[in-house]
Amino acid sequence: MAFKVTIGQFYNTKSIIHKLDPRIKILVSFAFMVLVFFADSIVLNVYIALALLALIYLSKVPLKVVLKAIRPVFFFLVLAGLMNLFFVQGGNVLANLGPITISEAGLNAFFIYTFRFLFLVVAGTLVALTTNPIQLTDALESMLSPLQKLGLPAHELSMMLSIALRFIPTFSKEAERIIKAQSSRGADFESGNLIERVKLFIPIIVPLFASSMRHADNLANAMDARCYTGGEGRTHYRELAIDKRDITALIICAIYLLVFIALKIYL
Amino acid sequence: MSILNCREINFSYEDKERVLDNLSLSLEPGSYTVILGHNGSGKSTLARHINALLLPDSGSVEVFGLSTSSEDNWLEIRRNAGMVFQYPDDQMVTSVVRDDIAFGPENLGIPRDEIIERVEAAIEAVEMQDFADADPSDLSGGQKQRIAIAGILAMRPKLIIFDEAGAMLDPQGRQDLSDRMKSLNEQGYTIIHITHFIEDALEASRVLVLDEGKILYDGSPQEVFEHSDHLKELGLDAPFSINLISALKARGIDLRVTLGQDELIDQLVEVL
Ligand SMILES: Nc1ncnc2c1ncn2[C@@H]1O[C@H](COP(=O)(O)OP(=O)(O)OP(=O)(O)O)[C@@H](O)[C@H]1O
Ligand SMILES: [Mg+2]
Repeated sequence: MAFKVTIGQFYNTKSIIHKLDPRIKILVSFAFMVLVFFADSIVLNVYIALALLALIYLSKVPLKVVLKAIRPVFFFLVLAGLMNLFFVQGGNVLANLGPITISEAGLNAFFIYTFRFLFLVVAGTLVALTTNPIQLTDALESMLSPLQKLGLPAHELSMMLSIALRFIPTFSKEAERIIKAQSSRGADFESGNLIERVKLFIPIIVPLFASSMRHADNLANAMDARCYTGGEGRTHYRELAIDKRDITALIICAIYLLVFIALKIYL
Repeated sequence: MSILNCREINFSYEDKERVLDNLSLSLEPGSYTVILGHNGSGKSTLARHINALLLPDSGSVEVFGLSTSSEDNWLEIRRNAGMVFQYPDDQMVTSVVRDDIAFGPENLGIPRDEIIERVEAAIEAVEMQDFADADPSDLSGGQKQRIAIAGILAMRPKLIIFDEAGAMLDPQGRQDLSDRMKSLNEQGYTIIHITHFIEDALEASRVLVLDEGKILYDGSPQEVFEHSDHLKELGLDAPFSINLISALKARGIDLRVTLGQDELIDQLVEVL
């Protein structure tokens, strides 16, 4: 049984995209995701797609890797697309396949929603593929730190995220081991109805939970032993600094945005 | 002056029975001490008293002249007394080797330039240059322990406590770890190695055997191995040479207790 996790799958090619400040990447990707919702014509969608293709090219991450990273959501992508195609009605009827009618509006929705969703997923995936998890959490801490004065525990939140990302491989290995052990005792995870299957997962969840408590306890001890006392007075090994490259990237993004607005208004 | 001074410490978890029983211990700087004991004899509990992760119910622990009873001393004590734990996975905080090594110095508020220097020096000291940017979860157990040691070295401690740090490793990994401890000791670090593998004791300058929270034996490896029969009863199996000597003794052949293979062979040749 495959048990692979795709969050935080950093793929280092040392490209210019990898070298950008993670805060810039996060901000730009959020802005881009908002933009995607304003792309309601074919031209704008092509414009969005071009930007993503250009970014994938610049990141030097092989297309195959990107596709593999988005594979888990592919099913939902297709499902959502087909639902739109079949259930959205309006405009001219294009085809009549027995009980199913495909209308112009349906086809339109199919394209718009499928691609919209795809664009969002690819944009997010690109950030994850090109940003090392440590930079991601450092960026989070840095962006949240202004809120620290309002009582938001910025350092603690980023520490939690960092540890969570760090332990994903440990837990997935452990889950795999437990599943194998249960399978060898005759547990069958591949068949049976839903309730039977859910029941089968209890002997996996319980030991996994127990072991996570043990990990947490050990880790807390190890952190204490290495003088961890929270965020106060702590220095940072990695420094986040906006340089010329980041400024250039921001200018390019601004130009891109202006062109998008122009296309939206005049086309 | 001793680097560690435990005076009549008693300790129990919650209301359970005593885990450390009126235990006193002092250690010389630069020494290499192995603490042996079967499961549950209180080794880890003792280790955790040395870096103020636990405090005694009564008695006192002084490390580098600082008492663990005062919270103000804890950081200074922990900086000077680093600890490598049993489970390699549970001491890695981040997902890049370099950053993990930097964790201790970051906590101490060391300026960034110096952290960079320390991290590089520590990576070199454990010969992990080729893995400096790796994800710790992709490394072997032995490599993870080397990263853990580097993380301690980057804090520039005087004393390093290994709490069964080799228990999850294969025999080769354990041997490498033991060699590394020896070389660290030669560089001037005081070493405490907690283990239940009796052969780990061969390298030590002093061996302590712990049983039910008390120090049962204390001396050079040779002196302690005189009691190999009793050690076996405690579930501490002696290495081959020691077993052979005690078996011969039972048959009336007296040999000097030795750990070296060559010396043993010489003695056997003499007797035969
Ligand atoms: N956190 C804890 N809470 C309660 N009891 C504990 C705790 N840790 C250890 N003990 C108990 O204290 C006793 C000594 O444990 P300790 O871990 O010090 O032994 P040890 O010599 O390190 O053993 P091992 O070889 O298994 O590591 C044991 O009986 C154990 O069950
Ligand atoms: Mg222990």
